[in-house]
Amino acid sequence: MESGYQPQTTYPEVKFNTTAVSPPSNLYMTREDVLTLTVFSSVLVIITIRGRLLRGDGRVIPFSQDFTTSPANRSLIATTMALGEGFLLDLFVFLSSGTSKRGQTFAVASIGRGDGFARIDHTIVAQGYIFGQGNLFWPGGVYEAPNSGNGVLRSIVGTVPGAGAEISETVPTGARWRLKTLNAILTPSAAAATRRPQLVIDDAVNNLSISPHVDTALATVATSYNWTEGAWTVATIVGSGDTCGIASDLRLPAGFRIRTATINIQVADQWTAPHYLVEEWIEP
Amino acid sequence: MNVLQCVACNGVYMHKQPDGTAYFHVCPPSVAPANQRNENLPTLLTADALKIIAAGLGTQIPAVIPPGMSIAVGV
Repeated sequence: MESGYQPQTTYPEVKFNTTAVSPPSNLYMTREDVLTLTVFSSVLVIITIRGRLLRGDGRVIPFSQDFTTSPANRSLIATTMALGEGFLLDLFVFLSSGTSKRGQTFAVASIGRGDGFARIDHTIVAQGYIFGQGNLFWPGGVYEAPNSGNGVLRSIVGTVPGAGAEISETVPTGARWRLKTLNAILTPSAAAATRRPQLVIDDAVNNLSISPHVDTALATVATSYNWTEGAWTVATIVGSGDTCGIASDLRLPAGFRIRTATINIQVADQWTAPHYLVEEWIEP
Repeated sequence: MNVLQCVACNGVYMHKQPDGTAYFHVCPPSVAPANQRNENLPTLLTADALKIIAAGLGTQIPAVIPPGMSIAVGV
Protein backbone atom coordinates (compact mmCIF):
# COMPACT_ATOMS: atom_id res chain seq x y z
CA MET A 1 0.00 0.00 0.00
CA GLU A 2 1.52 3.42 -0.85
CA SER A 3 2.27 5.69 2.07
CA GLY A 4 1.11 8.79 0.26
CA TYR A 5 4.23 10.67 1.57
CA GLN A 6 5.38 13.36 -0.80
CA PRO A 7 9.02 14.46 -0.18
CA GLN A 8 9.41 18.25 0.05
CA THR A 9 13.28 18.45 0.18
CA THR A 10 14.68 21.57 -1.46
CA TYR A 11 17.61 20.78 -3.70
CA PRO A 12 20.38 23.29 -4.51
CA GLU A 13 19.64 25.43 -7.52
CA VAL A 14 23.31 25.51 -8.61
CA LYS A 15 24.68 22.49 -10.37
CA PHE A 16 28.36 21.77 -10.99
CA ASN A 17 30.05 19.89 -13.76
CA THR A 18 31.86 16.75 -12.68
CA THR A 19 33.22 16.00 -16.14
CA ALA A 20 35.08 18.21 -18.65
CA VAL A 21 35.82 20.69 -15.87
CA SER A 22 38.01 23.71 -16.82
CA PRO A 23 41.29 23.95 -14.91
CA PRO A 24 41.19 26.22 -11.83
CA SER A 25 44.51 27.87 -12.72
CA ASN A 26 45.54 30.11 -15.61
CA LEU A 27 49.20 29.28 -15.14
CA TYR A 28 49.71 26.78 -17.94
CA MET A 29 53.12 25.18 -18.36
CA THR A 30 54.37 23.35 -21.43
CA ARG A 31 57.06 20.69 -21.47
CA GLU A 32 59.58 23.38 -22.40
CA ASP A 33 58.79 25.53 -19.36
CA VAL A 34 60.71 25.26 -16.09
CA LEU A 35 60.02 26.48 -12.58
CA THR A 36 63.06 28.32 -11.25
CA LEU A 37 63.87 29.41 -7.71
CA THR A 38 66.52 32.16 -7.57
CA VAL A 39 67.95 32.87 -4.14
CA PHE A 40 70.24 35.48 -2.61
CA SER A 41 71.25 34.54 0.93
CA SER A 42 73.77 35.59 3.55
CA VAL A 43 73.16 32.47 5.65
CA LEU A 44 73.39 28.75 4.94
CA VAL A 45 69.90 27.26 5.13
CA ILE A 46 67.76 24.68 3.36
CA ILE A 47 64.68 25.89 1.48
CA THR A 48 61.92 23.53 0.37
CA ILE A 49 59.80 24.13 -2.72
CA ARG A 50 56.45 22.36 -2.88
CA GLY A 51 53.42 22.55 -5.08
CA ARG A 52 50.95 20.72 -7.23
CA LEU A 53 50.57 20.36 -10.98
CA LEU A 54 47.33 19.43 -12.73
CA ARG A 55 48.22 17.24 -15.71
CA GLY A 56 46.24 16.96 -18.92
CA ASP A 57 44.98 13.53 -17.94
CA GLY A 58 43.34 15.05 -14.89
CA ARG A 59 45.84 13.75 -12.34
CA VAL A 60 47.19 16.14 -9.70
CA ILE A 61 50.89 15.59 -9.19
CA PRO A 62 52.56 17.01 -6.06
CA PHE A 63 56.23 17.97 -6.21
CA SER A 64 58.82 18.83 -3.59
CA GLN A 65 62.49 19.75 -3.75
CA ASP A 66 65.05 20.88 -1.18
CA PHE A 67 67.58 23.58 -2.00
CA THR A 68 70.68 24.55 -0.01
CA THR A 69 71.73 28.20 -0.13
CA SER A 70 75.39 27.63 -0.79
CA PRO A 71 77.56 29.67 -1.05
CA ALA A 72 75.96 31.96 1.51
CA ASN A 73 77.58 35.17 0.30
CA ARG A 74 74.54 36.95 -1.15
CA SER A 75 75.44 36.00 -4.72
CA LEU A 76 72.83 34.61 -7.10
CA ILE A 77 72.17 30.87 -6.82
CA ALA A 78 69.33 29.06 -8.54
CA THR A 79 67.68 25.73 -9.07
CA THR A 80 65.26 24.72 -11.84
CA MET A 81 62.53 22.10 -11.96
CA ALA A 82 61.04 20.70 -15.15
CA LEU A 83 57.50 19.88 -14.02
CA GLY A 84 56.08 18.77 -17.35
CA GLU A 85 52.90 19.89 -19.05
CA GLY A 86 49.96 21.04 -17.01
CA PHE A 87 48.49 23.77 -14.86
CA LEU A 88 50.32 24.93 -11.75
CA LEU A 89 47.76 24.80 -8.94
CA ASP A 90 49.82 26.15 -6.05
CA LEU A 91 53.35 26.85 -4.85
CA PHE A 92 54.83 26.99 -1.36
CA VAL A 93 58.45 27.94 -0.58
CA PHE A 94 59.58 27.81 3.04
CA LEU A 95 62.55 27.50 5.36
CA SER A 96 62.93 23.83 6.23
CA SER A 97 66.32 23.81 7.99
CA GLY A 98 68.61 26.39 9.53
CA THR A 99 67.97 29.88 10.81
CA SER A 100 67.18 32.86 8.65
CA LYS A 101 65.82 36.22 9.69
CA ARG A 102 64.04 38.73 7.50
CA GLY A 103 66.69 40.44 5.42
CA GLN A 104 68.96 37.41 5.05
CA THR A 105 67.38 35.15 2.41
CA PHE A 106 65.54 36.60 -0.59
CA ALA A 107 63.94 34.31 -3.17
CA VAL A 108 62.20 34.67 -6.51
CA ALA A 109 60.06 31.89 -8.00
CA SER A 110 59.63 32.27 -11.75
CA ILE A 111 58.58 30.36 -14.83
CA GLY A 112 60.57 30.50 -18.00
CA ARG A 113 62.13 28.56 -20.82
CA GLY A 114 65.67 27.38 -21.26
CA ASP A 115 68.33 26.70 -18.66
CA GLY A 116 71.28 28.50 -17.06
CA PHE A 117 72.27 31.78 -18.67
CA ALA A 118 70.08 30.93 -21.71
CA ARG A 119 66.92 30.82 -19.60
CA ILE A 120 64.31 33.47 -20.31
CA ASP A 121 61.84 34.05 -17.49
CA HIS A 122 58.41 35.21 -18.57
CA THR A 123 56.53 35.45 -15.30
CA ILE A 124 57.23 35.87 -11.59
CA VAL A 125 55.09 33.60 -9.45
CA ALA A 126 56.24 34.86 -6.05
CA GLN A 127 59.13 36.82 -4.52
CA GLY A 128 60.14 37.92 -1.06
CA TYR A 129 62.14 37.11 2.04
CA ILE A 130 62.08 33.62 3.49
CA PHE A 131 62.57 33.40 7.24
CA GLY A 132 61.21 31.63 10.28
CA GLN A 133 57.76 33.21 10.09
CA GLY A 134 57.80 34.27 6.45
CA ASN A 135 57.19 32.13 3.39
CA LEU A 136 56.47 32.49 -0.31
CA PHE A 137 53.23 31.12 -1.59
CA TRP A 138 51.04 31.33 -4.66
CA PRO A 139 48.25 32.05 -5.25
CA GLY A 140 47.50 34.75 -2.72
CA GLY A 141 51.02 35.76 -1.73
CA VAL A 142 52.44 39.28 -1.93
CA TYR A 143 55.39 40.43 -3.99
CA GLU A 144 58.13 42.02 -1.90
CA ALA A 145 61.03 44.16 -3.04
CA PRO A 146 64.36 43.23 -1.40
CA ASN A 147 64.80 46.69 0.16
CA SER A 148 61.29 46.81 1.63
CA GLY A 149 60.27 46.36 5.25
CA ASN A 150 62.58 45.60 8.11
CA GLY A 151 66.01 44.18 7.58
CA VAL A 152 68.03 41.97 9.87
CA LEU A 153 69.90 43.57 12.77
CA ARG A 154 73.50 42.48 12.81
CA SER A 155 76.16 43.07 15.44
CA ILE A 156 79.49 43.06 13.61
CA VAL A 157 83.05 42.91 14.93
CA GLY A 158 85.17 44.61 12.31
CA THR A 159 88.86 44.56 11.48
CA VAL A 160 91.52 45.55 14.00
CA PRO A 161 93.58 47.92 11.86
CA GLY A 162 97.35 47.87 11.90
CA ALA A 163 99.25 50.34 14.08
CA GLY A 164 98.74 53.88 12.86
CA ALA A 165 95.96 52.81 10.48
CA GLU A 166 92.33 53.83 10.51
CA ILE A 167 89.22 51.74 10.89
CA SER A 168 87.60 50.97 7.55
CA GLU A 169 84.52 48.81 7.03
CA THR A 170 82.91 48.23 3.64
CA VAL A 171 79.35 47.27 2.82
CA PRO A 172 79.72 43.78 1.28
CA THR A 173 78.62 42.83 -2.21
CA GLY A 174 74.91 42.06 -2.38
CA ALA A 175 73.98 43.95 0.79
CA ARG A 176 72.49 47.28 1.77
CA TRP A 177 73.31 48.59 5.26
CA ARG A 178 71.80 51.13 7.59
CA LEU A 179 74.40 52.04 10.21
CA LYS A 180 72.87 52.43 13.66
CA THR A 181 75.76 52.54 16.12
CA LEU A 182 79.53 52.15 16.17
CA ASN A 183 81.95 51.83 19.09
CA ALA A 184 85.74 51.61 19.08
CA ILE A 185 88.59 52.41 21.45
CA LEU A 186 91.66 54.40 20.45
CA THR A 187 94.84 53.83 22.43
CA PRO A 188 97.30 56.57 21.49
CA SER A 189 101.02 56.04 21.60
CA ALA A 190 103.37 58.09 23.79
CA ALA A 191 103.77 60.67 21.04
CA ALA A 192 102.33 63.99 22.19
CA ALA A 193 99.40 65.10 20.08
CA THR A 194 95.73 65.84 20.47
CA ARG A 195 93.91 63.25 18.42
CA ARG A 196 90.34 63.89 17.33
CA PRO A 197 88.59 60.98 15.57
CA GLN A 198 86.00 61.57 12.87
CA LEU A 199 83.58 59.03 11.45
CA VAL A 200 83.48 59.25 7.67
CA ILE A 201 80.98 57.67 5.30
CA ASP A 202 82.00 57.62 1.64
CA ASP A 203 81.20 55.94 -1.63
CA ALA A 204 84.81 54.74 -1.98
CA VAL A 205 85.63 57.95 -3.85
CA ASN A 206 83.79 60.90 -2.32
CA ASN A 207 83.14 61.68 1.32
CA LEU A 208 79.41 61.87 1.95
CA SER A 209 79.31 62.50 5.70
CA ILE A 210 81.92 63.48 8.29
CA SER A 211 81.12 63.35 12.02
CA PRO A 212 83.92 64.71 14.24
CA HIS A 213 83.76 63.51 17.82
CA VAL A 214 83.60 65.96 20.70
CA ASP A 215 86.18 63.96 22.71
CA THR A 216 89.89 64.09 21.98
CA ALA A 217 92.54 61.53 22.92
CA LEU A 218 95.85 62.42 24.49
CA ALA A 219 99.06 60.39 24.58
CA THR A 220 98.66 56.89 26.12
CA VAL A 221 95.10 57.60 27.32
CA ALA A 222 92.78 54.94 25.89
CA THR A 223 89.55 56.65 24.86
CA SER A 224 86.27 55.05 23.84
CA TYR A 225 84.27 56.57 20.99
CA ASN A 226 80.61 56.05 20.13
CA TRP A 227 78.61 57.26 17.16
CA THR A 228 74.86 56.68 17.09
CA GLU A 229 72.20 57.31 14.47
CA GLY A 230 70.31 60.49 15.24
CA ALA A 231 72.28 61.33 18.41
CA TRP A 232 73.46 64.87 19.07
CA THR A 233 76.30 65.72 21.46
CA VAL A 234 77.76 69.23 21.41
CA ALA A 235 80.15 69.05 24.38
CA THR A 236 82.29 66.57 26.23
CA ILE A 237 80.44 64.99 29.15
CA VAL A 238 82.74 62.25 30.44
CA GLY A 239 85.69 62.46 28.06
CA SER A 240 85.52 58.78 27.10
CA GLY A 241 82.44 56.93 25.96
CA ASP A 242 80.48 60.02 24.93
CA THR A 243 78.18 59.57 21.97
CA CYS A 244 78.11 61.69 18.83
CA GLY A 245 75.59 61.54 16.04
CA ILE A 246 75.49 60.27 12.47
CA ALA A 247 72.80 60.83 9.87
CA SER A 248 69.51 59.04 10.41
CA ASP A 249 68.25 56.36 8.04
CA LEU A 250 71.40 56.42 5.96
CA ARG A 251 71.13 53.35 3.71
CA LEU A 252 74.41 52.41 2.12
CA PRO A 253 74.76 50.17 -0.95
CA ALA A 254 77.56 47.71 -1.53
CA GLY A 255 81.01 49.26 -1.76
CA PHE A 256 80.24 52.27 0.44
CA ARG A 257 82.58 52.64 3.41
CA ILE A 258 82.34 53.47 7.09
CA ARG A 259 85.72 54.56 8.36
CA THR A 260 87.56 56.76 10.80
CA ALA A 261 89.72 59.72 9.88
CA THR A 262 91.59 60.76 13.01
CA ILE A 263 93.08 64.25 13.13
CA ASN A 264 96.70 64.07 14.38
CA ILE A 265 96.82 60.26 14.41
CA GLN A 266 100.35 59.03 15.13
CA VAL A 267 102.14 56.05 13.58
CA ALA A 268 101.92 53.87 16.71
CA ASP A 269 98.36 54.72 17.68
CA GLN A 270 96.09 51.67 17.83
CA TRP A 271 92.38 51.35 17.22
CA THR A 272 90.49 48.32 18.48
CA ALA A 273 88.13 46.41 16.23
CA PRO A 274 84.98 48.46 15.71
CA HIS A 275 81.81 46.98 17.14
CA TYR A 276 78.85 48.19 15.12
CA LEU A 277 75.17 47.53 14.67
CA VAL A 278 73.65 47.62 11.19
CA GLU A 279 70.28 46.83 9.68
CA GLU A 280 70.90 44.77 6.56
CA TRP A 281 68.88 43.95 3.46
CA ILE A 282 69.73 41.84 0.42
CA GLU A 283 70.45 43.94 -2.64
CA PRO A 284 70.72 41.71 -5.76
CA MET B 1 86.68 31.47 15.83
CA ASN B 2 88.61 31.84 12.57
CA VAL B 3 90.91 34.84 12.95
CA LEU B 4 92.87 35.96 9.93
CA GLN B 5 95.45 38.65 9.32
CA CYS B 6 95.65 40.51 6.06
CA VAL B 7 99.15 40.54 4.59
CA ALA B 8 98.50 43.82 2.79
CA CYS B 9 97.45 46.02 5.73
CA ASN B 10 98.13 43.80 8.80
CA GLY B 11 94.50 44.15 9.79
CA VAL B 12 93.17 41.28 11.92
CA TYR B 13 89.61 40.10 11.51
CA MET B 14 87.24 37.22 12.08
CA HIS B 15 86.16 35.55 8.85
CA LYS B 16 83.01 34.22 10.54
CA GLN B 17 81.03 36.63 12.65
CA PRO B 18 79.32 35.59 15.90
CA ASP B 19 75.99 35.51 14.05
CA GLY B 20 77.39 32.97 11.58
CA THR B 21 77.63 35.24 8.56
CA ALA B 22 80.82 35.79 6.60
CA TYR B 23 82.84 38.98 7.05
CA PHE B 24 84.47 40.73 4.10
CA HIS B 25 87.66 42.54 4.90
CA VAL B 26 88.76 45.56 2.86
CA CYS B 27 92.04 47.33 3.49
CA PRO B 28 91.75 50.95 4.70
CA PRO B 29 92.49 53.38 1.90
CA SER B 30 95.40 54.99 3.74
CA VAL B 31 97.33 51.71 3.88
CA ALA B 32 96.62 49.81 0.68
CA PRO B 33 95.22 50.63 -2.78
CA ALA B 34 91.57 51.51 -2.60
CA ASN B 35 89.13 48.59 -2.55
CA GLN B 36 91.76 45.90 -2.26
CA ARG B 37 89.86 42.91 -0.95
CA ASN B 38 90.84 39.71 0.74
CA GLU B 39 87.63 37.70 0.93
CA ASN B 40 88.89 34.14 0.41
CA LEU B 41 85.45 33.17 -0.83
CA PRO B 42 84.60 31.52 -4.16
CA THR B 43 82.15 33.00 -6.62
CA LEU B 44 79.95 31.10 -9.08
CA LEU B 45 79.02 33.79 -11.55
CA THR B 46 81.23 36.00 -13.66
CA ALA B 47 79.23 39.05 -12.59
CA ASP B 48 79.94 38.39 -8.93
CA ALA B 49 83.61 37.73 -9.56
CA LEU B 50 83.95 41.09 -11.27
CA LYS B 51 82.64 42.82 -8.18
CA ILE B 52 85.80 41.85 -6.35
CA ILE B 53 88.28 44.46 -7.44
CA ALA B 54 91.39 42.59 -6.42
CA ALA B 55 92.14 39.20 -4.98
CA GLY B 56 94.34 40.56 -2.22
CA LEU B 57 97.73 39.34 -1.14
CA GLY B 58 96.54 36.49 1.01
CA THR B 59 96.28 35.96 4.73
CA GLN B 60 98.16 34.43 7.56
CA ILE B 61 96.50 33.04 10.64
CA PRO B 62 97.81 34.61 13.83
CA ALA B 63 98.40 32.35 16.80
CA VAL B 64 97.07 34.84 19.32
CA ILE B 65 93.94 36.91 19.12
CA PRO B 66 95.25 40.49 19.46
CA PRO B 67 93.87 43.02 21.94
CA GLY B 68 90.78 44.68 20.63
CA MET B 69 89.45 41.57 18.92
CA SER B 70 87.48 40.63 22.02
CA ILE B 71 83.75 40.52 21.39
CA ALA B 72 83.09 42.13 24.75
CA VAL B 73 81.25 45.40 24.38
CA GLY B 74 83.39 48.50 24.96
CA VAL B 75 82.44 51.33 27.29
